[in-house]
Amino acid sequence: KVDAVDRGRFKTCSRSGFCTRNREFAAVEDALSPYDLLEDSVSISAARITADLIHKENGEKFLLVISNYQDNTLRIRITEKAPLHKRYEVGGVLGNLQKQNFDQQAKGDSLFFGNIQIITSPFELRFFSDPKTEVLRANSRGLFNIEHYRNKPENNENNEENGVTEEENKNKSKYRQMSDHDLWEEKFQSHSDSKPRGPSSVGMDFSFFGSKNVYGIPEHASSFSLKSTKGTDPYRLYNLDVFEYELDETMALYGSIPLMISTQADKATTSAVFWLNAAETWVDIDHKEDKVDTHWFSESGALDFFVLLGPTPKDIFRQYAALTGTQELPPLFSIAYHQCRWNYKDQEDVATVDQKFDEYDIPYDVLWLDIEHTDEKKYFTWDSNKFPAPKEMLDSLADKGRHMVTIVDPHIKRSSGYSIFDGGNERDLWVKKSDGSSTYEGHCWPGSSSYLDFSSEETRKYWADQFAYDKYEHSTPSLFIWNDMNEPSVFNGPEVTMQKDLIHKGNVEHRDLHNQFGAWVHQATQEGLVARDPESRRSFVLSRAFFAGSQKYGAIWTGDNGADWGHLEASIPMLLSISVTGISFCGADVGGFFGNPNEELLIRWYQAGAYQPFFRAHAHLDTKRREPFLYSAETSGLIRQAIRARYALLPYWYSCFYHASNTGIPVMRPLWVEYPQDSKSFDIEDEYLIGSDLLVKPVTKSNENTVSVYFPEGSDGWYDTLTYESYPSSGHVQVDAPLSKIPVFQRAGSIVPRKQRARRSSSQMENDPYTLIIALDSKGEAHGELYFDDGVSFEYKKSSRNHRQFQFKNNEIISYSTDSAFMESSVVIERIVILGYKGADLTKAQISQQGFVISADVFSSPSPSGPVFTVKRPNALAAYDWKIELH
Amino acid sequence: IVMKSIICGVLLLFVCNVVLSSNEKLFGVPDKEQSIYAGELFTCRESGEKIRNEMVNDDFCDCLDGSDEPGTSACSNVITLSTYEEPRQKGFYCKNQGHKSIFIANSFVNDGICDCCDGSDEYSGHVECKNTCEERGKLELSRVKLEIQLHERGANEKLKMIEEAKLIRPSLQQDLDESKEKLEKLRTNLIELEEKEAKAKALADIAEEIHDDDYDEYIREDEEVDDEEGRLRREDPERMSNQEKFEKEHGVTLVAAKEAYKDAKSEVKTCSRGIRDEENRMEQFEKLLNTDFGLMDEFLPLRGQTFSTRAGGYNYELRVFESATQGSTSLGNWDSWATKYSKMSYTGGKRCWGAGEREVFVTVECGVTTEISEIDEPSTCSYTMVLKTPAACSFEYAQELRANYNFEEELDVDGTGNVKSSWFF
Repeated sequence: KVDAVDRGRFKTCSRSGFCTRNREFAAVEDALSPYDLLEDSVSISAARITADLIHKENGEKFLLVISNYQDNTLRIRITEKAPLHKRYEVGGVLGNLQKQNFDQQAKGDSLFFGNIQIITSPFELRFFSDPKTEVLRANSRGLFNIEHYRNKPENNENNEENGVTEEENKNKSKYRQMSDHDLWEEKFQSHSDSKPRGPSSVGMDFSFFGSKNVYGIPEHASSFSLKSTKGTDPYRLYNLDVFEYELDETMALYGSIPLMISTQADKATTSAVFWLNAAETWVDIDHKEDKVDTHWFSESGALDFFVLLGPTPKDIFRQYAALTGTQELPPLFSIAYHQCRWNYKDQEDVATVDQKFDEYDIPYDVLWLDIEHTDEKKYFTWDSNKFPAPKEMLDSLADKGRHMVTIVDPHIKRSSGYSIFDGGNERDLWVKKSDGSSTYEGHCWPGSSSYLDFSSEETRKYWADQFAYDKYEHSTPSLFIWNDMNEPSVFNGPEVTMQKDLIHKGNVEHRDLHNQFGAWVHQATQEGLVARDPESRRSFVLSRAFFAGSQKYGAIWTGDNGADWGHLEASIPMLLSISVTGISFCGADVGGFFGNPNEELLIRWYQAGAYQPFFRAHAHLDTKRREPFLYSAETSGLIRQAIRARYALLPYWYSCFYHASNTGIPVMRPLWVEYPQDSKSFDIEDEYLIGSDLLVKPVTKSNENTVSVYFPEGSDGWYDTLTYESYPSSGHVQVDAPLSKIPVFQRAGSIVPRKQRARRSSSQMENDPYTLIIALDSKGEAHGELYFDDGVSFEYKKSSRNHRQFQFKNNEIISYSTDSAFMESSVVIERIVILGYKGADLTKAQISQQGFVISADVFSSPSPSGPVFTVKRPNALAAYDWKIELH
Repeated sequence: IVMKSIICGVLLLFVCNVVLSSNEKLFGVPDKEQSIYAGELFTCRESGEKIRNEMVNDDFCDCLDGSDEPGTSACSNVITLSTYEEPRQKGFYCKNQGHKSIFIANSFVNDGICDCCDGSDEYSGHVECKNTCEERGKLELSRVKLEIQLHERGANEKLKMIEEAKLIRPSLQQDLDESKEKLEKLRTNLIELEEKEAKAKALADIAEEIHDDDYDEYIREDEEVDDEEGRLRREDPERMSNQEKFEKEHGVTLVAAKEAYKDAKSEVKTCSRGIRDEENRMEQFEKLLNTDFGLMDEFLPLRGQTFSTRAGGYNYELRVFESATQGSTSLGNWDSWATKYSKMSYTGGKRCWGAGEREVFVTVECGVTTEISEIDEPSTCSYTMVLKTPAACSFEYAQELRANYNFEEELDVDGTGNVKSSWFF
């Protein structure tokens, strides 16, 4: 049983000054927005509109900049006209954006530009997915506010006197008022935040029209479709190391992505808001009859947001990818199965675990070493007693095509003689105390530690250099990296992280960039791994903390979950939230980190994990050993079966990741990505799609032998991938799900590539033949794809890749490609299985490939839904065009 | 380049058929099982379908149980669970001439890694495997020689332990019998004592009443009042006091009757306690007698013996069949054989933060003397150690090794010659 989180260690809204102020600001009913747009100030250039805003009571002026980009994307920035301090702008997240000229139209007396309408008094923005469909309003509830930077009042007496008069003003005012609660100093537990720059929060309300569902803003252990926060705390975005986190909470966790997506069934329009701010942020949500009201506020930084106007979910992913990048294509091995534990104790332990996997014929690709492998938690070092010959160990794994991952955390043990500590000192790369000059010290695994300032490019370069083979002792090309504790976790800091008044390079407060810190660690590590290899090997880096754009650096996981059914169930909505906000390569610790799972839970978790993008088993130091081979023949057998199910589908997974890397479409998808017109699918968070062709409904409850599966409207039927039984196109169906079964369904009309042969790791599958599973739709047709490359290098970006299209129509299967790139391969197709064929029995296949014609047998076998036809050894080459006629 | 590989691909179709189905000897199958695959039809070994002979080893999985592809990896995903139970029934057979013949998983066939020392598992040409059987065979041979020596020397010691056990077991039985006898006596005794107590109680109850009713007179009598009233009372039986009547009737004073009851009660209590203690003792003896000390009681002499060793700055102590400790911390008490005669479990040790009660799994291996070694803690507060002892050595195993490795003649076990005499024990 997982113990409860220690709530006292983390702030609620009422313990946070700016959260309290912004909520109070929003709470007054019928008050007006104090902000007007000065119409005379409006200036329109091709793709840019600027205007001045004024706070009607304090007279403070702000500059509004609206930029228009290609593909239905707008950016809105509002800053003080004459700021006392420069507002921090999030750097390094955005890619190169392509501007697009505004399309100006007259519409009454307002400023209307096709996709955006500006209302001047009070200031408001309205957004349209097409000129007739309004999907979003900003500041329609008047909650926009910027606490402009100001000087601290000289003495308290004056302050109080002013307070009195302000109080009188407030009572008279018809406008919304910001209170002066906790403006200049805040205390939390034993920590004091000196707030030298005073209040600086920025806030805005967004109303999604016609919508009942909004998604995104991870990371929370909460539902996928976000809940109303009336009566609870707002959803909080503030990267924190939360020990033993609980479920169904709006509390902040390890990562944050300030992107929210709204779906709307009537017109099947999808829209999104991307709030580009890395400071602590809270989001209130209120579901109304015909819209979802949201209120966003951040403690500091610029008010800067993007509106993505879709209109389809797939458009949104492409638009968001244009802003923050796509998922980096993972090396093939890293989407296979990972075996981790805190800790594999020594070299002998590693050798034994590796050996046992082979003995029990269970595949795995990567063995992981947690913090205990280091010399006194000094990352980049090895404990030479436990690991006397790391290179030997790495090489013996590599001989079987296997890889290793070691942990490298961003806190650096303060110990002279430790090269990273000395290097940080020599170059002065540390995060500084609030005085801006002395080095900050905090406690983490090694004891007293300092933290490299990853916001600085110089630090990131230094860090990246440490991964060079001649710097990181005993590292080899088969060694990859895991960044943990990068929120950053500081055991003795407020909320187990850094003080907000710490100083980063350029005199930036930690407050401004906190949520970005972990992503910079991830980035620097990824750059180091890419740079270490002259043969341009793709990297693999797992990170716990994340921010918008982390997908460019590798994988993330949901941190320290618990070994209970609730956490297994929660993994699905959590991973869906992360997936739709750009990070396709995400997973949850299989088995649960804290506590000991019973065998049923472990089996079900492996079955779910096998169908989640990042597939790793992990366990806490204090848990019992739980490697798959330690159980009864039956339990080990079921775990083997689940892991093998993952391996058999690697060609399909890899093809999905290729799409994600191209277009930003998530690998793990909620149903609405493919069926945006089916509003019944909008609340579903216990089943999902892998790519577009496999629907997965993991069993997440104890003692369950059947599950209710929802097949979305707009599909054309589904096939059970185990029994080949066919299911109708929509509605709920009760399906058998004994402990030996993972309920997975293939879409009618699809062709899914597999590799059926079991191997000890993905490396040994390279030359294995493919199996194609063709699931026919009601017209007797199907289409599918297969992507492959060398699985390792960046050559695929040039031309060394092969992207096949398969089509079944009129008893003919063809393979073709629309991609001009080509990669040679001698791998053949050994089997084609055809489901849902309604014609006369098939017996022969004629294979034509580049002038050669050969024939193959077709045999039929029974299934609950009629005969299944299998083409035996057509031996068509996967790399080339071919045609197979069936008779 | 393009054309070449197409031809290869198409050729592969024929080449595979030719190479794999023109089998004088079927690949991946031991000689004694060749006949199973010989007929015109092959019957899948577990699932029972019949398939044409040319479908065997054609690199395509036809049987539901995967038995038609012993020599390829085509059925590697279909292998059933029984594959992993010993002895391994299926898999790819490596002949390994010069070394040990083994079965390997079909998933290892043509996977680019040399698993059989004769290289027979990698025939696809993706990797070239050297034949290392002779070299490895020699190494194996010297290892096996040492193992045979160890087992035979150890088994001699084991004989002594079995003899010792023959002496210990009757004494255990005797302890139990004595305990039973004692218990019987105590129980008989208890019945008597209880009867005695019941009588004493009845009397004491009466005495109690009197005591209550005639308290004042009782006091006066004690004061030996010698007046008219007293004189009359003593002379006139009608006027005798109740306690005087009681004394006269029962021959004891009120005080004595009450004391007698108290004494009887305490005797019953003492006897009952004795019975409980003896029952516990008997239970221990019974448990001990029912403990599995091996087929020949060979582990019995180890019971209660203490072995200790130091590891990682701690002193570890194993009291065999009783308990295990790390310094003064209990790691657990004897629970059972986790695996018969090769792994013991000691459970219920001192609780450990976050990881429950401590436990130890003791792997038992053959050794010439008894000692513990290789202390490890694979997960927090779950320990393993190795107990080397002659009790785990076996002539039969040594004999089996001799037979398997064919060196019955040449091996002089330890030069003393006294081993061979005990061979046929």
